[in-house]
Amino acid sequence: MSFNKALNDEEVYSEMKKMLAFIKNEALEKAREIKVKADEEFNIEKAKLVRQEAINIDAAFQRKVKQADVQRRIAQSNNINKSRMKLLLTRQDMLDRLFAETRDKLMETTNNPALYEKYLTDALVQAFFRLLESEVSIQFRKSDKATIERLLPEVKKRYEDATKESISFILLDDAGGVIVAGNGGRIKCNNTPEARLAIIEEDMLPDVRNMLFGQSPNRKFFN
Amino acid sequence: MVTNSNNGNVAEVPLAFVSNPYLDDLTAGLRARPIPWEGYQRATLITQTELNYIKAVDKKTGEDLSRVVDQEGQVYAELFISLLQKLVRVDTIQSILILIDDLLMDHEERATYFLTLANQDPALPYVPLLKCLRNEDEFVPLKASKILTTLLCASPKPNTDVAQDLFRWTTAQLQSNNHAVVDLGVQVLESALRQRDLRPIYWNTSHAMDVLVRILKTDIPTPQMQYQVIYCFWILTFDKEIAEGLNRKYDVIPTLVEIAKSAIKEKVIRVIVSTLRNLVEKAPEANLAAMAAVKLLSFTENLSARKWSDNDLLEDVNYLKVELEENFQTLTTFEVYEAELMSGRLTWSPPHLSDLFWTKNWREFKKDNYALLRVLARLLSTASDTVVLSVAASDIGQYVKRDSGGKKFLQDIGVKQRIMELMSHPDQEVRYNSVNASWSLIGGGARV
Repeated sequence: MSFNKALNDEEVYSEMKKMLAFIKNEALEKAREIKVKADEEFNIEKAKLVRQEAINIDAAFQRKVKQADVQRRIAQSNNINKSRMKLLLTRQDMLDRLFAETRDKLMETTNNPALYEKYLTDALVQAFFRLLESEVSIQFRKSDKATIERLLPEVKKRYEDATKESISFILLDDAGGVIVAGNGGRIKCNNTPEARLAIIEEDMLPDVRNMLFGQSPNRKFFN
Repeated sequence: MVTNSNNGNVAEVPLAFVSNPYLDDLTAGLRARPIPWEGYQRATLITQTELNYIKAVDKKTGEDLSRVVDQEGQVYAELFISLLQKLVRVDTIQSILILIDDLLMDHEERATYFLTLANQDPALPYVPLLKCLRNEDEFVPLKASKILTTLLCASPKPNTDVAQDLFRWTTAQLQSNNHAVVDLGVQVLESALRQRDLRPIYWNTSHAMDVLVRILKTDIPTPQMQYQVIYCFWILTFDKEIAEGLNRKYDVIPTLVEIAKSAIKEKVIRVIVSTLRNLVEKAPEANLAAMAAVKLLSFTENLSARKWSDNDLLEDVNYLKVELEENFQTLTTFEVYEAELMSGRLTWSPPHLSDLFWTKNWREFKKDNYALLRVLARLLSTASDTVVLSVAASDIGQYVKRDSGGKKFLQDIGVKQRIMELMSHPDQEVRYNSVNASWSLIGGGARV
């Protein structure tokens, strides 16, 4: 700028004001550009952080869901085990009581002579057939001695349909019944009520169930 | 939102940064004029209470105004807007607008008083202001636009319908013969487009982009106007969709580079480089090819060697340089050629002269029903630049040499005819190239 004359104070002041306003505007324009850039960067950063946190929250949630699921399954499993255990215990308990009662009853039945005689006869014959020996020894109660001797001929006759036999006596302290042994005492057939009860306890539980509860209505195959 | 942490006298950047001397002069003139508010009260246009409120703030500014307004800002907002709704006389509307603008001046946080009016009535505060945009008076729409911009900028979720109306208005203003009005319109946009949600609205408002582009391309803008318009482009390009479409639809990259080459003011170059940077960052596939076509890389090398007072500018230039260099290798020559062709600025760049290029790429011209050939044909018919004509003619010739089947098509769309015409063109190079092309078109053998 060149002037024809020097500016007076007023004009200087006005020029300065104009320059100041101009500088201020230029600065405001640049400041605005900086602000815009900052805003945009902020928005990008914010979006990134939000996205990241959303992913984190999702992952944490999935973990929690899985955890809850695992816990549910553990509880379920525990409950099933508990009920099974309870079932088994109750069952066992019932069987124990059943057989204990039966064993007690056994003591009584040997006091019925007619029944007991029949029992002894059949038990002896069954044992002979079981052993299929020509020579057997019979263990029995002292108190049964007379009964046994009386029954021997009949028993022997029944068995004679199959093979010959010989008999020897051995004393016994049981609840009754007979233990018959052959081949010099090496093979034994224990036909006492206790032993028979034991066999029932071990191997014949399905038949016990049948006696107590009858056939299962769902059963289809009976071979 | 603007926080007012004014320690000392450092000014905060206003949301609606409008510094337009024309508007200021009009305002000053109107401010000096006396308004007979008492008269209106007697004529029951306004109530006594309203009169008292007005008198409390009339002709006051700065500290005095704050004292009154800080007590009852909400009441004043409601008062002014309701007055705008019911008063019809132009001078009253002008005064109310001035009062509102004074209220918001340097205290844009007071915009919330206006925005909360929407809770009572969803039409407020915008509808009365939008009405002002269509007022016949010269001052009213201009002032109202500034206020609207402030409100839109202060709003966390700006009302997009209102914005659309505003943009339609600015689109009209940008076509005015009055430079001051155009200037105000652009400044309104500079502020409004800072709201990210409004950028796609503007992009989709019909002719809105056209008028902006036109200012740069056809009018002869002052550096300040250049800065302002390009600043608008810059904030628009933060939006990915706009960054992808801007050059394709409006071919701005060559214009921007041209302006940058001849610009004297640093801030013009600064804002151009920032815009180019956004185009590369947000939409490289759409823009890198076009940039390579105008040889932006060598220009950035030139720019990086100069002394700048602004470090950010240097940073942006270097970013551009690095990106262009990296992608230069991967840009196929064909993409560059296509960008050049679509921009209409054909020059004797390597693809045109390389036989290998044509042998490799001639099939591309057949695609889309000879799309590229049609573009070439259009350029041949419409271009006046001799270089463009020469290059186009040469390209046609090169194509035909490899695809004699295309001759019939070219004849059908009148290219053959046009090339014959060009053989008698005043420019020697045009003649030379069209003769060669004709030779190939007719079915001649080796090139002369």
